[in-house]
Amino acid sequence: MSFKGDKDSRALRIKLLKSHVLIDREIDVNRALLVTESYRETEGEPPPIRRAKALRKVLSEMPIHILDGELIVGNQSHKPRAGPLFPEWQVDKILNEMHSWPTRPGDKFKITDEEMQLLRKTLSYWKGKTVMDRVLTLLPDTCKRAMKYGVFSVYNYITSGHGHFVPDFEKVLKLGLNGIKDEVINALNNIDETDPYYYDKVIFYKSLLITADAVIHFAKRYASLARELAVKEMNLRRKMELERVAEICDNVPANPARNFWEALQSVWFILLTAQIEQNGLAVALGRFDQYMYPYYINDVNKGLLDDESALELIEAFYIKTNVINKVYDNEGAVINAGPALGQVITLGGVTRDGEDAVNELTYLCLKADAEVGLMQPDFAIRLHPKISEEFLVFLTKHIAKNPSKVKLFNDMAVIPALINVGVTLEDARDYALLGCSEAIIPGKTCSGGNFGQINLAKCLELALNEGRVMWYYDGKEFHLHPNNADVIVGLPTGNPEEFKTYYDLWDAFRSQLSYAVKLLVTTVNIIDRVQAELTPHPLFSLVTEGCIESGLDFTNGGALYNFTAPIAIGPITVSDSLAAIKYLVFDKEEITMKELMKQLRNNFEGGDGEYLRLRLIHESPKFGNDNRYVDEIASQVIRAYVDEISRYENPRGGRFVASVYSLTGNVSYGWRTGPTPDGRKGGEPLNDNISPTIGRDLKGPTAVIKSLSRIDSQLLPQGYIFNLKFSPSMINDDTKVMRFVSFIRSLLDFGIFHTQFNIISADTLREAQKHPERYRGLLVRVAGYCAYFVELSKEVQDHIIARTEHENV
Amino acid sequence: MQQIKGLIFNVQRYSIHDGPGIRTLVFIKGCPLRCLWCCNPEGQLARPEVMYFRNYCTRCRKCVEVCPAGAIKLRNGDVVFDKNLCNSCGTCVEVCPNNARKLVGMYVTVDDILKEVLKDMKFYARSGGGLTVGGGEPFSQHEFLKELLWKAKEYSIHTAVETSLYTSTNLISGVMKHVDYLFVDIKHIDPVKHMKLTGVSNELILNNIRYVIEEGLIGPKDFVIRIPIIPNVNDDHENLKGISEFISSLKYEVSVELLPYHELGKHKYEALGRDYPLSSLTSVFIPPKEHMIKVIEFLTSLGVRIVNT
Repeated sequence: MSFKGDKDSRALRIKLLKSHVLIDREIDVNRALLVTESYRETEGEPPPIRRAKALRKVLSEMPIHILDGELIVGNQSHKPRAGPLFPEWQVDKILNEMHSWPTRPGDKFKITDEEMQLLRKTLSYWKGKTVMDRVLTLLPDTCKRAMKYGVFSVYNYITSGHGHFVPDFEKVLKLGLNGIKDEVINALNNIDETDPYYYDKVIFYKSLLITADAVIHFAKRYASLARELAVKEMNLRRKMELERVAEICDNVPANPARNFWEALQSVWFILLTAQIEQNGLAVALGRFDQYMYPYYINDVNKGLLDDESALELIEAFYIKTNVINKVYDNEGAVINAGPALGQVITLGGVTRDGEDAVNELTYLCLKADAEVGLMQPDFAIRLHPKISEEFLVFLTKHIAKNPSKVKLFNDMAVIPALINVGVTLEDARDYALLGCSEAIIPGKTCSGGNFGQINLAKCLELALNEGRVMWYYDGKEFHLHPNNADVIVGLPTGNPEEFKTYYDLWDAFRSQLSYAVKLLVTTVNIIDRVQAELTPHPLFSLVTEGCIESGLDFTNGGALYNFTAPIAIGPITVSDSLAAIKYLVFDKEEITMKELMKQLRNNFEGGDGEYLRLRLIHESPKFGNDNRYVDEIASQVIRAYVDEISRYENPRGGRFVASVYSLTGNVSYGWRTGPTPDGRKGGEPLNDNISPTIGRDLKGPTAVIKSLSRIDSQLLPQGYIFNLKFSPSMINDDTKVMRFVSFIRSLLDFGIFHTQFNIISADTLREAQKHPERYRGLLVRVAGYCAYFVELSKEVQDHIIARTEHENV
Repeated sequence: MQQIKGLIFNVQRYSIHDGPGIRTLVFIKGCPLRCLWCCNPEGQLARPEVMYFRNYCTRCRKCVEVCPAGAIKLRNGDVVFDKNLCNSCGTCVEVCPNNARKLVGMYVTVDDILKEVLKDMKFYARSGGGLTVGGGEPFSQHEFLKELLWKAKEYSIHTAVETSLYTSTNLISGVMKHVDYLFVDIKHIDPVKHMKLTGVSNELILNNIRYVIEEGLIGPKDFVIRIPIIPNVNDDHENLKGISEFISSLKYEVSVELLPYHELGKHKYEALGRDYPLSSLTSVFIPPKEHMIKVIEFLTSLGVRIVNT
């Protein structure tokens, strides 16, 4: 049966489907209860089997629903927009903080007293058993102390599973889970019994089989439900749709997809269950326009599908991605402001042969987003020199209308960066994005993206204070010079007042950075092993190349490519600070280290302090102005981080690689960082991602791009985030469109890895702050992802307003 | 060889409203006109000046202490700046930590400017952009202008000039040899009113416009006439009709761009210690979109080709 849509009926359906998800978010307690019950039942069994059985219990017993108008079905929770809880990773914060979730400053979730009661009763089971508990018992005090004072943190992977993953959708669509099961059975039957890891492999393969069956069964539940609903349905058209849904869910993801609609449904079931398995951020959609294309063109050629109906299906699919919600604890809600999940769709780029990969579906995917305009999914557009002018014109017009939803990636920067860390040329050409700017090979990679975050500005603070913290934020208040014994979190790198040259300072910074990275790596690798032991990911393993072949779980080194990529925060704050000292203290000798240190220690308070602070701001070069003096320091700072992090290996047989972005961590790490010599006062935000400090780039976007081009992006396989400021009036007619197209080409010329736009006016944002109810759907780009502005905390809102003010030149 | 120096007051990169593509805009200081609505008053005088932006000032008094001319005084805790005593030495600008004091006008060589202009060559090449010289009045330093444009052409940079053409006619062709794109303003068609609004008559300007066209110094595709639209000052039908008649009498059809009046330069008068010339004219207002549409419709009905976007 073919599916035919038209523009009007599509608009009606989209409106209906959007109304299901544009509602306040709630807590779903159901999953936590089911998982706890399953864990009680499987006491004593090997962890991989317990994981598989827990997922099976959730998928077979959670209440399911099909909402009015849905073409793609499958829900994460029994409520349309709710976040389930994952006590396997951490339970204390759930129990201690849940009462604050409905009212906390950002990322609110409703929860009732009865639900809290139920959780308190049930979740006590997990005390001492979680990933968090296990890690904390092992972690050296040096690491804990450094985290307490804001040198680094490891939020994501200690509170949920890996995430940061693109399943091998192409394989699922071609073989179905039954086909993949055959591979598993074949591998299981062919293990050499004398293999020293025979035991582990058998358990692993069994966990995969349980999981595959659980997902297939989950789909069948929807088939039955759709059939039941179809019987009751009075509207003939809807009745036929439901019958079709039933037929589809009977077939996929168990079997190969037979058409476009089935392919979409199959992809959705995998994405959804991958999320339900492990709760990690950034399970992304990969090269959607590539692996979906055969199903699209085949249907079109057979006359079963036209572009109008393809759009309706794609849009229904997009809306579905918004039912996935993740509940952060209060700390996470600050770092990862907004409920975005990094569900990136990658479009365009080159093929594995290096040719332009843009096709009809690339255009349709963007058109569909323009019509839907929800927060998820997010779009990564891969660009390269062979990309057509026609596509760039289309893209530019799309950006003019939907500036916040698109981020641009440069194949000429990304592909060499991946090859440089051991990816083959063809695989590198096949990269996709996930989360913010992490480039990975879909279906083959355990990315370790955003596995830990290091505060470069804190390393500078330590270098200026002999390894002691100058500043402490306890979650409520700032403390200048916290006066207790454990404030030594770095190395004794000497009294800064006795530094004779800039290089004394640089060496001190390098030492502190080196030591901080070491502590971070120690912590991260412990977490990595605990995850492999306690929370294997059998579903991820089913859809990742390398796992079935090696008999190893995704969390245990099974994937073909294994990375760990902690992110560096505040690189430009550090670079501007180093440049200020180099220029004003050592080159010009206008300020002494003694004077500088006096005012820094005093957080620039008082008339003399303020005077010095303003001199530091106005009289030394700042990143973002096409000034080599400071740009080269920025390049050295990033290079230093790359050199330090690249020395280490992860327990999955892979290596550490670098990436530079901050999410909104530049705000929360700013709280934890004392005054810096670039004129920033203690507690203020650090620079945003790799963008210049707000208000310090004075020469327009071409100068910013040239400064940025001096950062060697090919050293950063998981990228950086660059927020480009520009105003929408720049692209409102044909001449301006062509000028913007040329501007995009220039971004490629300069090797800029990533670029994204945020161009809503500051006035609009202020209005939204005042009247959140009128601006529910207002999207802004926060970091590598978008968020509904009204759901952000006031502090992050203020930061975005300040960023916006500055851009309207 | 000693290069001649020019007096400029700004170099603005990523300029996108002053000619094709992405451009770098060089502002020449000094202008023979005194348009009442001028939004770059710091470009009028042909000498360096100190501007004082009161809202950035924290009254730290550093400037009071260092001013050798005694032009900055403290009165009732406030900083008072006497422009007449100021000799623009810039000492106060150096000590001001807030950038509240700014020295406008620097003497630079053509090579100094080119160094800055060349920084965005890659963007010009991609976008079809280049260098635009505006001001002030570029022709007020025509030797410097000519050398700047000539040297830019050595690098094959596309060049544009924004001028009033209030200049001696025999200086024009020498400069125009190096100009790819030209913007000229017509502010009023009536010589007497023009005198009242800008301080000079428009006869020389209109003759020079005719001259560059008749002599073929610029092609029709590369010539834009700009009309500032100052409500209740020069937007009456009589004036617009007069301008359109002049334009249609030219040898070829010229594109016209309308510049709606704005007040973005108002605070600069205060910083220069001058009164805003239009503040006595209460009938002036910032034209809303509908107002501009009416003007555009009227001019279009007279056969004028408007290129506004």
